[in-house]
Amino acid sequence: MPAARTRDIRIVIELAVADLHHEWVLTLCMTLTVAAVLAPLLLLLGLKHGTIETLRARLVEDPVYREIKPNQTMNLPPQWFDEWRQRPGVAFLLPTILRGASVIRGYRKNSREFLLLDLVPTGPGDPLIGENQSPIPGDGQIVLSSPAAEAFGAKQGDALTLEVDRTRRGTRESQQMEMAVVGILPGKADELPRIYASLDLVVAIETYREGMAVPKFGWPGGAPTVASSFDGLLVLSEAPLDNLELGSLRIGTGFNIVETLDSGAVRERIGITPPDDGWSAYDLRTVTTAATQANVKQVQRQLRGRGAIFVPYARARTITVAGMPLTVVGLSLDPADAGRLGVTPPPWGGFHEQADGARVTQILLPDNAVPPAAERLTGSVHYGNHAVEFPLARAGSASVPTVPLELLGMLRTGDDRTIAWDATEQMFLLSRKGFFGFRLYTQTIDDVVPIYRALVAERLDVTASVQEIERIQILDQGLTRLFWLVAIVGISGAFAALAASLYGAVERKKQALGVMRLMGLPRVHVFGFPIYQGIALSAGSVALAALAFMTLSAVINRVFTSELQLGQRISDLPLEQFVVAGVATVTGAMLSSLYAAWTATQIEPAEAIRAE
Amino acid sequence: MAKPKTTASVEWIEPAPIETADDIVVIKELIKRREQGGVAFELVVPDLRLPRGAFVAIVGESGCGKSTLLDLLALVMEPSACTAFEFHLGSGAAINVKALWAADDEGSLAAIRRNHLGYVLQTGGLLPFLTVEQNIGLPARLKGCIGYQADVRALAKHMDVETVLQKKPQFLSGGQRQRVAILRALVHGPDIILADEPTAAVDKARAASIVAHFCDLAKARNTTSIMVTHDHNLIAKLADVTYGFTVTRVADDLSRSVCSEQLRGWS
Repeated sequence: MPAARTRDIRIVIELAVADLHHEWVLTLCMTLTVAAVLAPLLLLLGLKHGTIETLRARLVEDPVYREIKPNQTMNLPPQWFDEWRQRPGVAFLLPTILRGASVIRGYRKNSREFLLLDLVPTGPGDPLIGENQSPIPGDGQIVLSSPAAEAFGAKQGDALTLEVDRTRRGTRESQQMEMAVVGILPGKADELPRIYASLDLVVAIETYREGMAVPKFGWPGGAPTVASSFDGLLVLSEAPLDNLELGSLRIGTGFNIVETLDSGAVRERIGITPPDDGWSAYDLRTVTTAATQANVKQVQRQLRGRGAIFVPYARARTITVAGMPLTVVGLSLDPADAGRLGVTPPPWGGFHEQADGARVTQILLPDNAVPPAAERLTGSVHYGNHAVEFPLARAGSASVPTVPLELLGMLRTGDDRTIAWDATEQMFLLSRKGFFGFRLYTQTIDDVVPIYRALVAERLDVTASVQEIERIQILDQGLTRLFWLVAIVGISGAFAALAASLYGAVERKKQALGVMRLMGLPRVHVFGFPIYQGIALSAGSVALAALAFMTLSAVINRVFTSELQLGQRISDLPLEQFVVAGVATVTGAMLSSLYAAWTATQIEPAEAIRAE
Repeated sequence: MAKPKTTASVEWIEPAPIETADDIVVIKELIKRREQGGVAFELVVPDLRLPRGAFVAIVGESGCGKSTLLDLLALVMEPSACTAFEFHLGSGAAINVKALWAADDEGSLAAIRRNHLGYVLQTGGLLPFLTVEQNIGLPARLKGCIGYQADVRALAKHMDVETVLQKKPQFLSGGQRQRVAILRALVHGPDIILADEPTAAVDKARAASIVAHFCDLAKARNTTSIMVTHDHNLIAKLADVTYGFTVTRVADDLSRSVCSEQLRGWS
């Protein structure tokens, strides 16, 4: 910018400010007018910001408000947890076990007195532990809630003895563990007496309670073998059952449906046809759950001495054998019963509850089903997108592909639980069927609502502090709308007054402005005269309003000190919002002065001179 | 601008050529027409030459067009028509004012006013929000003069307003205001000072004194002074050149005032 133009601008600014100083009364009134509108707006904005931020801080500080809890028992596979841990907004996610399985005994030091406490799994990143300044417990370590610590009389660094027990094969068994207390949560973190331990320990306790071994801790037990389940039970009787007998089959057996079958229906279920003469066939089924060996035994007791043959069955299913899908039936029949029915017994005989892997993995195939030389085969069954493979030994021929009922029953159990063939045990074993619940914390308070809604969309019944959070968000929006309503009214009035004042000043100073033109100031610089005055007035107003805000704000915060934590304020305005308000005020003043500025440029020097 | 034409026929009379020192302002065949309330007034200036450094008086009764002529010379009013309108300022080259008006070059006209003209208004025209010292120094600041402050104080002493330098104009007497206005017109060393009835608001005794001071200061700086007045006696002994007006009623709705040189004592 040329030096002359810079000089002219500087001179006009000085003239504008000198004029304001000369008419200091009017200047003061105008400054106070704008400040009187701006200060209450700043206070309103500060109260809104301070109140909302205080409420939010209270929610944000306490991780409890970021927790989303399941309301009912679920069955969540490990893949669900892997997927949800990756989701934006999820800070911490850990599976939990059944409530009943997580209760544990804790013994006071050197005492036989014990307490029953809930065991809660935790892990790295747990905000409830971490944000309450406690270390995450590892192997051999636990964290106690405040009520639990009080009940045990324990403090950080102490050792506690935990005991888990079970009843297995009629015998009570238990295991004890010495655990180090590495942390105690404050009272506000958990109001119930609980023990926080690693997920490994919690799952191990559940596994032990189910009667199985936990090699990691050296706890003995069984392998998680797969028990057979059935779709129903066929009762074959040489004499028809009377109504009384049929009715009794529904009482105390677990079966709800009793249906008379013809020989074709029998063949459909078990692959053999009983003799037409004299034999009656009945199909017993449950409505919802699978039938078990226990149900079969109940029916056997009801019809004791009747001479009936009891054949549990699982519905035929497709097994891919050597790459060929076959519809396979399951049949286990001892030779005596087979003889009575006039059929050839399968080579594996009758049903054995504790059958080994070699026994159950046999198959009778039609002669043309698979090349005869193929004695060792592989079978596979698909469960959704998960397949289970297992060995099969060809045990002979049959017109209908037939496997032991034990095998078909185990495969049927695979519809409800995850099973797999264990090559080491040479047996089907149960995989972890899923977890019954979870502990989930979001990253921020603002993530709670969307995560909550996403879980509900997956038909998971969960609870979160959604209402408290939404209440704050609604309050924030409402206060913002209220602020702008008040602001628009106030600002319009203030700037209208400013525009009128500046225009009136130009009218009063027609001669002075004409003289300035006469002296050689170009029109464009005279245009700036009211604008510089507008800027100066508004800058003074902002300073006064800021001073008033800070004073009133300090008074308000002092009055509410007792309600606030250290560092919190009811009236609080961040510096950036101050700056925005200041810039907006000055900009508004410049816009208000535009008409006065245009009027100033229309003053002709000759006209001003003649006005004398 | 085209050959000037008037609403009624005007016979341009070439004045007898006069030998002059170099002229700082030359106007030929200028017409300014104004209308108000349906009545037109024409100011006609056939030939106007203002010698450099002279004290020029423009004398006439009220309504004869003397203030209009001053506005034209002050470059704040555009002629309706003219053949020539030139400033011959110290730098040598002539400034074609006619061309500047034709091009609507407001910036150049303002620059000429700032750098080469000074103006004394009837009641001073001081800016009320500046002190006397600031008022006097303002044209010098606008021109970019350096070290003008000493000149301001020296001139103020000469005009006997040194004691009121820090006061605002509202605290000055009429005479003091006029003296300050004269100083303001002089301090930036203009080539031409235009004074529009500078003593109209003061009494006769003070008026003579003010005009005498004004004339002395202007001559001391070789500044051409152009003073409009209705009082011939005030300038009779001081003016080097005097211009007057002959007003005729051409029609019911038209008056014409012709400006002509009345007296030239300049040599």
